[in-house]
Amino acid sequence: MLNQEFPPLSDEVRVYRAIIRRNGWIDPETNDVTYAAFLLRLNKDPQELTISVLKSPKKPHMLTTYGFIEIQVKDIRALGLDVVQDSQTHLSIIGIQPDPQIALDTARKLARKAKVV
Amino acid sequence: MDTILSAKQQNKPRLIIYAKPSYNSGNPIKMFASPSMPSVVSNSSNINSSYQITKQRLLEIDDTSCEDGEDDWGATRPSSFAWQKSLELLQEIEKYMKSNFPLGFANLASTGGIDLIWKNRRTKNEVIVFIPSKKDENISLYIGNLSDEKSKLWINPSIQLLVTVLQFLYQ
Repeated sequence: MLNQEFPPLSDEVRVYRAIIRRNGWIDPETNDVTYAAFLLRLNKDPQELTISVLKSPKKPHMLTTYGFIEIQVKDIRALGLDVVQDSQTHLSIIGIQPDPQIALDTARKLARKAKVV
Repeated sequence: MDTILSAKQQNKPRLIIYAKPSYNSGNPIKMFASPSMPSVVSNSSNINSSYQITKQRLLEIDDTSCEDGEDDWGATRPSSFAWQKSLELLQEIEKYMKSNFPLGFANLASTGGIDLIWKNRRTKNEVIVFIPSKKDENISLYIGNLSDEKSKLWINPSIQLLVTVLQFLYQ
């Protein structure tokens, strides 16, 4: 649900995904971001239907991170998705279909637009 | 103590116990290796380095620093089933593809399953094998290509299909 407290983000805004696994989220050959960084956890109970991102690349409290991935809001919207702010520091990528194959296709497309910072 | 190299010289199969990973179950994987099987410690010229590097990358996804075996994100260590199946699959692929074994890497799923990943950086094609954490769940095989936006997903693929898809990936 949209939090009216925060205005819509402009296309130019960059958001950040914390890298919380040491291996797998980054291609060891090229340092490119992989689908794994943007894959919904559909096996969770309840299912995860959004991807958490941050306003800035600052380590969240009580979370081990291995760096940050940057992606621009306009690249997220170009895939038919959106990103909404739900707190001062936290945002959610919304609109990913909870179908395993489509979610994976979408994760790969997001990864291609993202980069390690 | 016999080493793997001395076992090769004696031309006897040896039972290799890998110290890592130590699984969620606490039991190490035991793999029965024939004298011709490439070994991490052997410097024999027939080593398939892509196979060894891919296997090493698979072992590296195990994070033993978290005592509970999981954190807020999910599993920090693969399940015993996922370990065994992943290593078996890599061995099977190596058996079929031999020196053409493609260099891949691995990802730990939040469920404790394992994803085996191969990418063709030129075509942007990508093959992913999703190995579940539990035996009663399905293995799936995905091939995706960003250039024409197409992908395909198979449930419980045969090893022959997996090898065919990997061969296609690098055409």
